[in-house]
Amino acid sequence: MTIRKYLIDHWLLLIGWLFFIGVTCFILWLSPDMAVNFSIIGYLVLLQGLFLLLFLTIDYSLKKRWWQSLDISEHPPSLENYLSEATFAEDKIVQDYINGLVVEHQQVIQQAINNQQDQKDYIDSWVHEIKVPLAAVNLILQSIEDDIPEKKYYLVENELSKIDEYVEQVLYYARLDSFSRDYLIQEYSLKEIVQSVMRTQGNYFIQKNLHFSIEGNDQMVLTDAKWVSFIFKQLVSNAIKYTPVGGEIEVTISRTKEGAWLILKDSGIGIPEEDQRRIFDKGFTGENGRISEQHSTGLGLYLAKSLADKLGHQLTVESVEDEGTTMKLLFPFLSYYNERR
Amino acid sequence: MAKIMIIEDETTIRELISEELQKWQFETFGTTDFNQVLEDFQREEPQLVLLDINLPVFDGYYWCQKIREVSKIPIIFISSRNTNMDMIMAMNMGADDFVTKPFQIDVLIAKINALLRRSYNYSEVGSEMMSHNGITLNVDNGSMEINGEIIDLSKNEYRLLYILIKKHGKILTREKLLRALWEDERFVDDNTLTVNINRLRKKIEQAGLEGYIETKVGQGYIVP
Repeated sequence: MTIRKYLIDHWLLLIGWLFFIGVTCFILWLSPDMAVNFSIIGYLVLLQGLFLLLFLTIDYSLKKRWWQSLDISEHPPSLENYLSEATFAEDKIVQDYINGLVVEHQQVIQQAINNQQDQKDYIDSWVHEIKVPLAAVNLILQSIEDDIPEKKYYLVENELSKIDEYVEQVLYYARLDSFSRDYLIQEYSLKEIVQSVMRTQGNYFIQKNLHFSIEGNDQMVLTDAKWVSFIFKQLVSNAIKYTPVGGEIEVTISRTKEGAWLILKDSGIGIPEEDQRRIFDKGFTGENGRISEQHSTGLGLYLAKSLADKLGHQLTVESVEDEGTTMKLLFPFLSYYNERR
Repeated sequence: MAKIMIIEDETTIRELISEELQKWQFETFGTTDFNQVLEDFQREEPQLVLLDINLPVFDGYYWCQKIREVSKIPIIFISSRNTNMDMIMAMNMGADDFVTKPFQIDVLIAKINALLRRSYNYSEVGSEMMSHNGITLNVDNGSMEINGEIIDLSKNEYRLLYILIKKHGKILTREKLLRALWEDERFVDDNTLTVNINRLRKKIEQAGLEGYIETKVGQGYIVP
């Protein structure tokens, strides 16, 4: 609140003061037994003017703290703090009203947080519940492997592993926020992580007759094996989805001065250039997601990217349409961060 | 044969595991009273325990601790919980391994065998032999014996021969064989399979057995 704005706000008071002065002068002028002396009137105006100034100054300085506490340019409005600087009844009404809003807001937010937590807990426990029958069906299937036609066995096995992957995706999605409570950074061999993921994807490779190879020397990286396996699994599963029968998928492990690289290259249909920026967006399925027969949830790469960011790894994509896609995961060395700082 | 105690409250899973283990010549005992787990354990004196985490009454961690107070027996956790915290807890409570649901029964059996071998030095647990039509396959060191002659096999050759003999009399498709090899982390394609089968045949023929592995054109391979 500047002084100018303050004066403009008090226009009524100023006009009132001028009116009173006018009335006083008028009555003085009308009084028959008083000699109208201009110096007396001047003195009166000056004196009253000084009193008015004094009054306004005191009023302004008393309210200044209240206005300061409301000044947005100094501290942006926040729903966490209560207002407490009001001294006049008029301001207190405003203060109580705003504080009431803050309380209400906090209650609503708290309820939303609780609801969300409930839902997450429910998803968590649901995932664990569903895994029990899933494990049972898996065991049953393995025990009747020789009794049913091989093709059918593979079909059921495929569907089961798809169910399992989707269930995992739900779990990881629900855990994305609570990531900080569940990770364990250790030194892991990249090759071992790649191999353990590849082992779970074997049937897809065989069915689509995809050629797979690992190139380059193994690198040790600081990461969390479980999360990075999940990330890599999403990448591999995409590569399998979008690579035609007989295609090639190649993993390269390498090392530059920035860090260790895990590069997954496929000979698939590629990603149109206009889609490349958005493939990591949540819910984005793109042209490929729509034209192919694959179901695309638009979640896999979003999760992969978010988790990679949280782990401090960098996930990037390069792709040429009809030639293939290359996904690169960089595990930066600590020195890389130092140099950038 | 080793006795394995299964502490799992899901009846279906308990029975399926138990059935599979019995196929592998293990004796099994499945707990049904989850108040009396420790008493059951002490009465049955198993050589290995499979333990779920989510159990009625007390959880798996509790029983793991209780068992550890009285015994150094190998314990494998089987659970659908898979956070790092759960695994760390399990290991801290004294578990030897952790298998997450859903799991492949082969993986579980392999882990059980490895643990038993390490814990008890059982020669009868370890060196399993598989014989069929003149070939004796040593499951332990991946070699085969024909007419008293011991022949070393590569890992792929061993896996192929193992599954062919195990399922002898059945035609095994190329896909099935590829899967068998794949599971062992060896990334093989169709050509590699052909090469491996041919090498294996050559080794068997050189030892004096003709036509051990037959080709069924368009279907796969069979060991009659």
